[in-house]
Amino acid sequence: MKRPGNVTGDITRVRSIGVAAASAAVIVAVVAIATPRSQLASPGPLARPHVVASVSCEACHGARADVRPTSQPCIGCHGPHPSTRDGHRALARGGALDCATCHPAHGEAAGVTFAPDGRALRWSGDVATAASETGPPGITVPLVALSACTRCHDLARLGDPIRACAVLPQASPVNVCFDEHQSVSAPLGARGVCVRQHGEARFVAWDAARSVAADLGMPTVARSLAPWTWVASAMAAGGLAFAGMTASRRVAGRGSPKPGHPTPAAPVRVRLPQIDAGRCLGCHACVDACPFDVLAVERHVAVVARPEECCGVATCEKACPNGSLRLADEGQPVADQPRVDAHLESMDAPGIFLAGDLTGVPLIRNAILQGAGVADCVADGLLSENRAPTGGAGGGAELLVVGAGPAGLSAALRAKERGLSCVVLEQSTMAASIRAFPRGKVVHDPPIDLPLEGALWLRESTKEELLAQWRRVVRTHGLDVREGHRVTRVTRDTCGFAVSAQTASDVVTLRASRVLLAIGRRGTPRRLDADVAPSAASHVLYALSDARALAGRQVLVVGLGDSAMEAIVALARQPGTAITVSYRGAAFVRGRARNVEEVQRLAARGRIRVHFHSTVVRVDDRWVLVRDPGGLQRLRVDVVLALLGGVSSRRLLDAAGVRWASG
Amino acid sequence: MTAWPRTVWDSAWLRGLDPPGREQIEAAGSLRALDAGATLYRAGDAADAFFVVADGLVDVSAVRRGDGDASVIRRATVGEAVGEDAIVRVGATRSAAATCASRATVAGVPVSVFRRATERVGSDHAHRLDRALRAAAARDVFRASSLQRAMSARALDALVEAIDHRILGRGDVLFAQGDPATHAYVIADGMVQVLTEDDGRARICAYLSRGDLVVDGSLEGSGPHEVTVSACGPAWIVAIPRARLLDIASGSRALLLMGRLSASPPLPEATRHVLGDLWRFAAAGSMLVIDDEACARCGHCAWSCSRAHDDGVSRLLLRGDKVRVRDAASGESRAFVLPGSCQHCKHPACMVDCPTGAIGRDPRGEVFIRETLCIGCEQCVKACPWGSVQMAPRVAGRTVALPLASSRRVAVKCDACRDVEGGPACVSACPVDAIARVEPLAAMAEVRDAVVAPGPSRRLPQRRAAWPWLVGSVPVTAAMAAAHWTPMVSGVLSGLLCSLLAGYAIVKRVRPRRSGGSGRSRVRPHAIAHLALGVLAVGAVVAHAGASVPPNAAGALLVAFAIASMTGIAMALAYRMVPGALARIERFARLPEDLPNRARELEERAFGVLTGRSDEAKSVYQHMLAPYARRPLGPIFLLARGSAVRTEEERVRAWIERAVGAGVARLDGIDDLVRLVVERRAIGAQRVLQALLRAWLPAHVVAVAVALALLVVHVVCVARGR
Repeated sequence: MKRPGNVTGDITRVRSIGVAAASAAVIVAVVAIATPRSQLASPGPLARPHVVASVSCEACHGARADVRPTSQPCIGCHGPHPSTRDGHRALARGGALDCATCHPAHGEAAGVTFAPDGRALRWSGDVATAASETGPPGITVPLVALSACTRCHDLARLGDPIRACAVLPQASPVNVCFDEHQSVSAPLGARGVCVRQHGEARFVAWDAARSVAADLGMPTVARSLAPWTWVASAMAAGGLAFAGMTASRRVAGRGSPKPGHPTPAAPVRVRLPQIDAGRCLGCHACVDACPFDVLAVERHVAVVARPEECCGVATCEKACPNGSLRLADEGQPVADQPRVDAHLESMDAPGIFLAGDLTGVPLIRNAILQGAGVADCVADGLLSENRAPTGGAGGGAELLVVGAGPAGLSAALRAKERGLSCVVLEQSTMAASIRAFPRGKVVHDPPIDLPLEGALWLRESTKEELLAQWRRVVRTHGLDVREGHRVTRVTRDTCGFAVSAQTASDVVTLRASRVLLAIGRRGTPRRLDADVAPSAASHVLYALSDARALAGRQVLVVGLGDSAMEAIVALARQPGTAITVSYRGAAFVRGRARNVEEVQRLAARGRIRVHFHSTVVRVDDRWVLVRDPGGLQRLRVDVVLALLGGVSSRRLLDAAGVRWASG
Repeated sequence: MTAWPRTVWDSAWLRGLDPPGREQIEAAGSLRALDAGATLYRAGDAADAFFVVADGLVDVSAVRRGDGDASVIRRATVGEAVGEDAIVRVGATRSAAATCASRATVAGVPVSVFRRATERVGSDHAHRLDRALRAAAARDVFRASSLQRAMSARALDALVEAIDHRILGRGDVLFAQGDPATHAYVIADGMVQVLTEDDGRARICAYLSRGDLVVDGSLEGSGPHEVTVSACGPAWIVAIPRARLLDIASGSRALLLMGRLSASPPLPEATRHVLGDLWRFAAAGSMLVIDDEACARCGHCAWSCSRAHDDGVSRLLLRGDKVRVRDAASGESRAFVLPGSCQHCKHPACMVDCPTGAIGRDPRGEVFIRETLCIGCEQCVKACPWGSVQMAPRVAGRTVALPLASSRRVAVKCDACRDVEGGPACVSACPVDAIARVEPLAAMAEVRDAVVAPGPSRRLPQRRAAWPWLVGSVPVTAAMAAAHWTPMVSGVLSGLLCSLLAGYAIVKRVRPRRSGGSGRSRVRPHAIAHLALGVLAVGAVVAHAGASVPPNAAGALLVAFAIASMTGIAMALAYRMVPGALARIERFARLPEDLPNRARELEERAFGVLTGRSDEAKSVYQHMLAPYARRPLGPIFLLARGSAVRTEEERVRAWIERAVGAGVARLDGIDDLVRLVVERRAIGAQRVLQALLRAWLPAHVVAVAVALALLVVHVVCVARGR
């Protein structure tokens, strides 16, 4: 049964504990049933003399092994031993005192036996210790522990009769009652049984036993560990069951990476949504699902407001709760899209893969899934060609990725997981490849279910946080990402591809078996068309990686598109930063309404200065020359941030052999 | 065939509608005939319709700002309307009351249906009527606002013509510090907070609500705004161009001194957190809170919630913000965790966006979702500012009222167990009396002070103590242990006590038959009884068995009982001592399974904070703070010191200052890093403490199960032995 997402450990713990308790109880029951009944109630091991004499359970207990026998069986072997004391005799008649009260046959029994050669053996329970004293051979003297008496008697009470017998412990280590059954003065009769049990002189054996006990100390009955092991094993079983349930739940919750995760494919035709106005409830689910504001709710019914933005990915259809939104059956073929097959391999240039925004599929999470899917496909393909991943040996990478955006990084991660050698070439920095996504559209997007690649995806993060996350992922996994390498040409030769890239200073060529183009749609940042002094070249930036680094500086932002406006807003939040904007147009013509509003507000407040109709003429170390309707202006500037849009990479793709749908 | 009188359809509001529109309005609306003096609606009622007077007179009365009692602000005759404030947003509550001055007939027109009917006629028409309704509502607002003291009724009416309406959502900014000041504002509904930003930190100066005038500086000045005003929740603000206000109010000094905005001293640091989201507390009808210093993190509340509902989904998650508040009645300071559970707002944002009207409010104020109407569109999930609504699988086999509802998931949220016997299941299941529903406006001192709440104050829920019972049972136990009973008597007594102890598990699961619980935990008395019986049982067992362990089933039973008792005592001690320590080191309540993730998150966040910082800061982090965060025994030191999180942060900060000396000024951002590493260490400590709380229960239950099984064996053995 699939449980909803918010089942916490508190709730599932109850079942685990129940199972653990039940399994422990089962173990107890099993042991209880397996143990003979006699042992279950047994007060301890049989006394040694009885063991030696091979007395069976039936001899004393009769048919019912768990019933405490009367004194009859004892008398049957040992003969009657009435007490000399009136009180004890009265109790014996009443049945409250029997042989086993003082001479337990199990458990607490202890005594001294003299072996046939006269050596003494002190035993307790069924354990015996040898002693060096000797005594009359073949005689056993039972030792009655004081605890048998103190069940009824109280040594400390002044009027207690036991004070006459028992000397206080300090005076003598052993107190053995001699005259319980036979008075001291009475001689032992010539009865055979008595002589056999006690020897000719009862006194002698008794004295020898006393000295043995004094030497070796009063024997303590060996403790049986049976109850402890029983309980311990039951608890251990319960503990194992609990741990097992917890572990299985944790494994199930984490989920294993899904190799068969479907790679989002680019739609071939754009099918516009069609809304049944009679059934549409105006619930806004489709409006929230669409990343491009194609749908809107007017008069409580959804309508297609901007059909030209529709990308055909159909998240709106999935989000509609009652099926009033359906995609049309027919639609225009998607223009301006590269031709790729289901595995995102170019249909016209085999060996070259495409992923990310370039394929026409929007959203970062789709780019991540596509990148991972391509790396999987490449690894499977190389395996099937019997070229096991060499991990870099053989001169050249197995997979070369162009573009360090979400798709490219995801492919590099998955390649590393699969053991492929992989190099990522990025034309500027990872920061430049981050696209801003519309606020409020991804608030309820579920996280990506891939353990490693999912780390590239952060819900509701700022760009800085996302970038920091990506950098950390690259560092942790040791991905080979080379920034500042702009790929200029991809040529195919006999054993793979040769990729040429331009760095700041020279041109490098790399070899690869497979190439993944994850270059997005923005292209190469357009260079600033101005005279830049060589010493000032490092002051001209084409991407804003961290606004905080520019705190307190004088910044000139050239351009007024979405990227430029977002950079302006980020910089305006830094204390002490002076921001000037130079834009060649006349007004705010492009970009999202929200960005425009914020920048206009900043301008109205005087936080930034905007020069319309202005172009940058020259960039020096600390000065920038700007031409605007007022003539040439010299601005004191530390850093120039040129965010001027991009030059399309179409030529690179055409030269590589990638063809586009509909020309 | 319309049944409503002609006067209704001839009124300015409903003129010109076509027959289908009229039918819709009649079907959804209501026509009522009321006697003189009858109440049409009260202040605080849900406002989803306005009323057109067909016959008779209706008075609108409200408490004018600054008055103690309500007074009549307007009288409506035939053809006029009352209750136009429903146009503001669906789900608003009435700020005024309407009573009939004479025998009257009124027609109630629901606003949403009204809108659709007028739009059928044409959007111009709809727009004009909408604006007229708003103006009428605004007029009533002005009549009850602080402005009316300074201006004549005619001047107020003239003002209404000049206004324009702004509807703000939570967090939207009305104006920001530094913006040019062009308008003055009156708050018609909702609450806003006024804050200044110093060094990047926001400082709240004041809260303003319905009826207040928002103007800073002087009306005549034209400088920029000196403060930022943002909405705490959905708010309706009426904007008056300053120039116009000045024209109308020229010469009235009272007006110029009107604003309640002043440079008042900042609110005390200790209560900052509550006031950081004051609106949440003021809007809550019944908020579920967990006493952080009592909660044993046993999860019983979440478990009983999942059992109380058919779909097995718990509406309660033990994660949430921690706040420290003062009791309104006694002034004592308490720490509470706010779990992610519906707080039954007075203006439910979830209700507003529900397209099928599945979310409703019952007369007691509890907000509930009708599963038969829910289509799973998730609007409410997105609308709730605190994430109290979740999606859960639809329970199979339930009838669905709407044929359109085809989704497999429905929205669920806490409904205060309105159809469960015995009141909220979570509250009645807590064994330590830690969880309760409170009304913040009545019980929390800071909220009452800041919002000037009406009604009497109430105490925060109090916990029932166990120690008197335990102390009382100790002498009884000692007496039992020393008594000389026959084995049979002491055995039977022990067995009985053990069975009663085990019966606690059954008692916890039984659902009460009586409906309407007292709002207190039903399980707490049983938990106290369990503890006391445990003490007594120890005495009985000692009397029965002594201290020796016979090598048979009885011995095993004694061993199992000993283990059960010891784990039980450990658990009781842990429940008593650990929550206090835990409350000192956490700022946000987390579940044990969240803690490792949070630790990882903090590590990564540290890198995010470090990028772009100065080299000194980076080296301080690398050499001092990172080792501090990663030391394995660090959490133990933190616990041993017993300091709260803030104290520890200050200590680390002082340590850094001692090490770095004069260069401290260059360490920008070090405070964030200190906070992060201290939290990282606190996470380790939290794991230790939570393990201390939770580790005993499985061992205790398993030992009890073993002991019960062995008890059966022992009793059988003894019975056979007789």
